[in-house]
Amino acid sequence: MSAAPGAEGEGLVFLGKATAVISHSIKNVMATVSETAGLIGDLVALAERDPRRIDLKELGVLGETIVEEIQRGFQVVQLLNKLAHSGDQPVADVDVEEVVTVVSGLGRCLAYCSGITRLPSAGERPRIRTQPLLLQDLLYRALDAAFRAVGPDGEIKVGVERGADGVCVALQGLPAGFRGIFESPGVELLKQALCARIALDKDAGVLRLVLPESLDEARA
Amino acid sequence: MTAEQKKIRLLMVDDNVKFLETVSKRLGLKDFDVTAADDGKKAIKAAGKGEFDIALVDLRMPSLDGTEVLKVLKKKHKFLEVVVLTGHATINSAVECTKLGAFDYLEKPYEFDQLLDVLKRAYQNRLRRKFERDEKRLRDLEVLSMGSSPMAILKSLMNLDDGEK
Repeated sequence: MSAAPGAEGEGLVFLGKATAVISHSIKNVMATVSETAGLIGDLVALAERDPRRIDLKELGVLGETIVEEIQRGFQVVQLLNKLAHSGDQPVADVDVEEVVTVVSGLGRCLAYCSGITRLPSAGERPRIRTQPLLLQDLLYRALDAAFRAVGPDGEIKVGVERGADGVCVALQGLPAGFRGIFESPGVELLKQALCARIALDKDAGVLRLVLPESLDEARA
Repeated sequence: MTAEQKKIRLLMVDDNVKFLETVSKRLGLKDFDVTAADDGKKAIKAAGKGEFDIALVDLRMPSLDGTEVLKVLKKKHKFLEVVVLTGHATINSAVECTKLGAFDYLEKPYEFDQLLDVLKRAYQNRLRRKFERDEKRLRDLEVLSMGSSPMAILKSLMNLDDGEK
């Protein structure tokens, strides 16, 4: 089974956007590592002229900063790796919690991201048969719209639960004026390709993406 | 450089706090007088309180984007040179920043010496623009001082003074 041609195009655009976001994060990591190493060099050069000026504690803190930044870089690269492999198979069995983790990680790379709190799932981690790349795209669009509505000081709660009509990813904490993600033609393509349902409960401030347990069966 | 000698007053804004602190410290060791702000609103507030020669502005920041900061700084501080420093460099944003009056646009990561060179050129440009303005003022003053009544000269002089610090 493959995606509709339009939806495949959307997936490609998503991968491009995701790669750009991640490369920007890596650049920031590298810039911080480069400057911190440069500062250590500057301080050592000063100490060579006047050994009394050496501050071992400061050098230690700067060394820790480099280690922390490199670890942050590893996490970003791991995220990129997972995103890149999501296109390996057009349709696959996926752990929805894992998809939410990857997309949340991508969202955290955005300058305007809000806080994200994951709500614990009751019971087993839901797995569904779907198009992983397109599911990531749809979730990312929902999260991006939520960030823009909530702002960097706000917080979004994300939960995954199994319901009677499939697996639901719920974004909670949306403001009263939130208009959903329905206006984009790309979203409509993704919705159709994933046989997904999108519902906005304006009173509760919750956006729900409901996905079928099996895309093959939903399309049959 | 002795304590009496003038330092280049630099306002730096970046939401990556570790990067901000590290670059501020490095520039401080190079005799810049650095004020650091971790968001755009704080930067605009700091610029309103103090006088700066150069601002070093990140583009993607929460709450207030770097291009908005650039617009406000260029509008309110005529001789302030703004250098954009970003990990989100695109041709479009470089063109936009240039149109908004940015002196230069640096992409992260970069060589520190490259940053120093850009800051040096930005400071030279600020001085050049100020001196050009002052030369024009001197010429205007000479013209005004001939033939008018003392009160007319005084009024014209007041027009020449734009009240900038």
